[in-house]
Amino acid sequence: MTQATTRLRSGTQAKALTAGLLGAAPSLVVASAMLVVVALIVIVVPLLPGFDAYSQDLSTVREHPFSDMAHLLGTDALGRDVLDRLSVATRTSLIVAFGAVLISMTLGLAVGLVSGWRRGRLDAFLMGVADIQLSIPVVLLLIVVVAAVGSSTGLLVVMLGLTNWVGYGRVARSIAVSLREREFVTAVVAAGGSSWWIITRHLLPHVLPQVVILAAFEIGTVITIESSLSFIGLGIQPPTPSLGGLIADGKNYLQTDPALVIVPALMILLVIGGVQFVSQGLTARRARR
Amino acid sequence: MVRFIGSRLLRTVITIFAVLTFAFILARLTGDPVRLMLPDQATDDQVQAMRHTLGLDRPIVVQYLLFLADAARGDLGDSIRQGQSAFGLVLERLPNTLELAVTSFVLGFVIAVALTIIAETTGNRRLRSAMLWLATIRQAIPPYLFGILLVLVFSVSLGLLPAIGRTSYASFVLPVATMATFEIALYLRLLMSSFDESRSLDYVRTARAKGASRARIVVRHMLPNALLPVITIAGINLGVLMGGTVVLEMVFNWPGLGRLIVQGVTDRDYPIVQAGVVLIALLFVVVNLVVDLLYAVLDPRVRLS
Amino acid sequence: MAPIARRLLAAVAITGTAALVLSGCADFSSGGSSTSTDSARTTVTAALVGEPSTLDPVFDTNLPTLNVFQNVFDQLTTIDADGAVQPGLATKWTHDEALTTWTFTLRSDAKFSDDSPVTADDVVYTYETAMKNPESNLGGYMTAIKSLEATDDTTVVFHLKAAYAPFDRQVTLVSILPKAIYEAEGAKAFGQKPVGSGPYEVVKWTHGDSITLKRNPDYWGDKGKYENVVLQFVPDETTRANSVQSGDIDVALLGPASVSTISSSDAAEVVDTKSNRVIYTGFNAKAEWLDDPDFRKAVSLAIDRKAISENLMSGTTEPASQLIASVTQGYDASIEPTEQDVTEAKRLVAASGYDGSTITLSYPTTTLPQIQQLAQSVQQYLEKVGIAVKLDGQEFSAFSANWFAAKFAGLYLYAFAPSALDADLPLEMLLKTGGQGYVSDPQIDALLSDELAESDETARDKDIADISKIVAAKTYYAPLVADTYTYGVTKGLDWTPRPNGMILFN
Repeated sequence: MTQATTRLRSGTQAKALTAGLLGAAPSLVVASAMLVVVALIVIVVPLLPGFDAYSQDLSTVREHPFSDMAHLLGTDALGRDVLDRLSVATRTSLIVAFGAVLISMTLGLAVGLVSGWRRGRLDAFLMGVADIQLSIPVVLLLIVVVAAVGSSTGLLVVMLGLTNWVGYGRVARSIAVSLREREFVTAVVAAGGSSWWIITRHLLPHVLPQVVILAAFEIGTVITIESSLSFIGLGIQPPTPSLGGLIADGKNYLQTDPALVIVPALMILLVIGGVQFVSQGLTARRARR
Repeated sequence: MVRFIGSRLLRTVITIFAVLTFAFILARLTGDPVRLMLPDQATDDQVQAMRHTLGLDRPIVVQYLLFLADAARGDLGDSIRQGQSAFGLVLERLPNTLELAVTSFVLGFVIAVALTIIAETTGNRRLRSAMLWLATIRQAIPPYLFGILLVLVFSVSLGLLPAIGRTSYASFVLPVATMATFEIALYLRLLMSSFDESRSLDYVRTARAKGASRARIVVRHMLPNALLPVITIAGINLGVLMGGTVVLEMVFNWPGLGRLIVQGVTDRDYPIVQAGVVLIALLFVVVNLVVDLLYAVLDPRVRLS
Repeated sequence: MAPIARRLLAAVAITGTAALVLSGCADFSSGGSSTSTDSARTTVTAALVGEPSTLDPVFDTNLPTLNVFQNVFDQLTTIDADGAVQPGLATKWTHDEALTTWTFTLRSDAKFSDDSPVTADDVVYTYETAMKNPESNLGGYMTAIKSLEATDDTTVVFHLKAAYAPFDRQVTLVSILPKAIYEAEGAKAFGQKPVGSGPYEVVKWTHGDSITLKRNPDYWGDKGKYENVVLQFVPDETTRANSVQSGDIDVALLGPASVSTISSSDAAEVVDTKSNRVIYTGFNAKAEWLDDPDFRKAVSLAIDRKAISENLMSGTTEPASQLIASVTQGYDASIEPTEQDVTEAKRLVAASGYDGSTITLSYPTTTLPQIQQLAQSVQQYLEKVGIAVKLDGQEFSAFSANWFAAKFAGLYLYAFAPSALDADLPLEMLLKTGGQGYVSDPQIDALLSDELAESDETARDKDIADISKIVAAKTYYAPLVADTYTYGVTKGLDWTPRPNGMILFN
């Protein structure tokens, strides 16, 4: 569509953009520690004896954290173990987030690279599609589809994946455009290299690092959207727990049992913050070299 | 120039057409409204009759063409639930949502620019680092949760500000604060790294060598350059912001467009859903078109691109 | 570089101007903020859980809308805080032996807020308008009526198609329209700013936000206690609880989760009353396994209603023994709620030959208290006795459409809350052959027609109790819990809750 949204012309601008999502780099150690905690809870907690995220016990509801050694982080409104649920919920949310980001990244890369390499009518068409996609608010779109079809983890992954590709597309395209005229590419063209060969062997390696930075940022966006849907009651449906679902379940108890919300909210913080800080740290380290 | 404007307009028309088509499909997805419109005891004959009145018994292609014909005349049908013009109802709510979105956007952007300038001119690395940490943490708190926490502190505990509704200027404070902090966080991070890029640019080095003051370099030389990629994101973000208010409108019981559309979905009031989606998309398209055209007038180079 | 700054300015200027022009510069609704808590309070704000689609009584009969009507209009009779029928526009009413002819005598001092008197003509007009229009939801309450007439200015005679014993309760749901104004303005305009004869009149309806009412100083009955009443639409439970603590709202329905928060609050207190609502488990009694009464019995026996009431619902419900609540006409206190008996449930499941195939449990994802948790709780109880259950949460509209069409695959959770506080409507809908239930029992059908033709209240109550006993014996339904309407109310506010959930201020 418009100038305001298709300004990305040169590769440096695209780099500036993705770099923008990085900001300063806090210590890689702190960031990695955050992710280690996430990993421990997702991977190690299920291995502990007595792991059970689903069993209810209405005689022990909403126990406070650290008051009962059998339930380290307490229990929820149905007497289920909060730590065990946190573990499963984090796994669910990570699957949704990584699944969706993988879909949108792949789609965005494909559209962006083809668009930027081929230019011409195809480019105009694909970028037109991107504009249309942008003009439809993702949250509203999800609400309509989920209300109509019903919510499932698979549907959410696919829907979130299909609606968030434009950013990747833009970045990939602008870098592809800037590389098109570079010598190493024109040399391959002259040598009779096929488009497929050029795109996968020569353009992709340049585009990928930038796109991955964007993906680290998008993980957070997707987790936020998923939890917003849960808040409205249209997220992943029980009994499967998700981080947004845990917060939605706990929000009515925020004043009496704040741990029910604080625990999953901290986990979101660890996931989003951890992924971003690590990506920031790695990029900063690369830049210093 | 004429050619530029012409091609932009054409693209806009195509986009609007696509959006209409999309809205039509989306609205049909919400399901059959007839059973919900009629009283519980309605007979099958009455259901059929109502279907006929609404034109829902015609082939989907005919429905679509009729919808386009009506839309061309500015008619997006009547709300099934309220019996009034859907576009009118949607338009009635638009200002309430725009107020929130635009105020938060402007505040967020301006504060982010100001903070970045402060961080750059003082050159304090700790300050800069602290800002970025806070920004990342703010972005990791879902907006609805942030909103509820603000309500608990400022309305429930301190009794300073209204928790819900749109009753006075005071009722803007919490929803705007929720959204503006998110915007600050976003732009702060974009701007700061954009500055990082421009610090090493030649003209900045030249200016520094000439002995220009730090503040002057930041504001006159670095800022304009750093804003360029950020504005690109901002144009897109403004549209995202419109849709993003839905959840906040629910938390703060704000009488906005998002809640009306969600209500439309729950009530299977497809004309409302249609009109709402079309309006938001139109807004996005038109704002961007006007910005483009203005930009073209202001900057002759664009016409060549 | 200047163009960039200019471009940014242009973008901000355009959107900013557009916003201001469209909003016509902040025009606030007069609703909300009532901070004075002394006796001189003139404005009270209450939360409605939804927004009316129209304020035309002929079309919208949803609970929040009915709540507005009860403040703004009069009905022939009303229901008091104890659930008993009291005179409204009608001072007295009689019926013939066959219960098919009902004569209502109207009071002569009732006036619409434009000062015109309420006459028998208005009553006849209201009923006939609703009955004639197939799209009228109100017409649904009038299917029993054959015809009606005004025999003089203050007498209305109804001729029913068949005996209908609770007719004097049924008319509490019909708000009387001013014929002259309704005809002159038309339904659409009237629906935006209606005129009634009730204790309050509508001042303003701010779409998406609130309805503002002011006291009708000339009301014939108990006058409004407050000069202004603001009915604010607040669908979200957490938001309601927060805003009653912050003082933005004075009366708000609470969910079980908020009760302990409000009771420890400085600003608000908890006020509750037994409600007309019973949450039940329904069965598609034609589906495999569920067609076996013993299997259904096992489902009922598996559930611990006490634990649900005390722990999950924080004491805001109590175990239910029948499909109607204790405030509803026809309730039989001698029927006991089913006690959990896991051993017996397991035995019945084993005896039924159940092969472990999964049974679907459908439920609406919103609208009922703690419904998501309740569904998971029921699922777990059933799994403990060996029944495999798959949860099927449906968005509310979809769920209610499926309920009306009797299209559930297996089990479902839902509630019934008859506003007229009479057993007939829920039992007809849930149990009559061809109704919304999956039940076809000649004995119940016979009792249902008996009950409607029984003019003696004690005898009628016995018929209804007999139906409830059959339901329990054959487990056509498994009633779970009877609800309490629990409100957060600004401390010191003089307000009484009603068993039918209406928030009234006179």
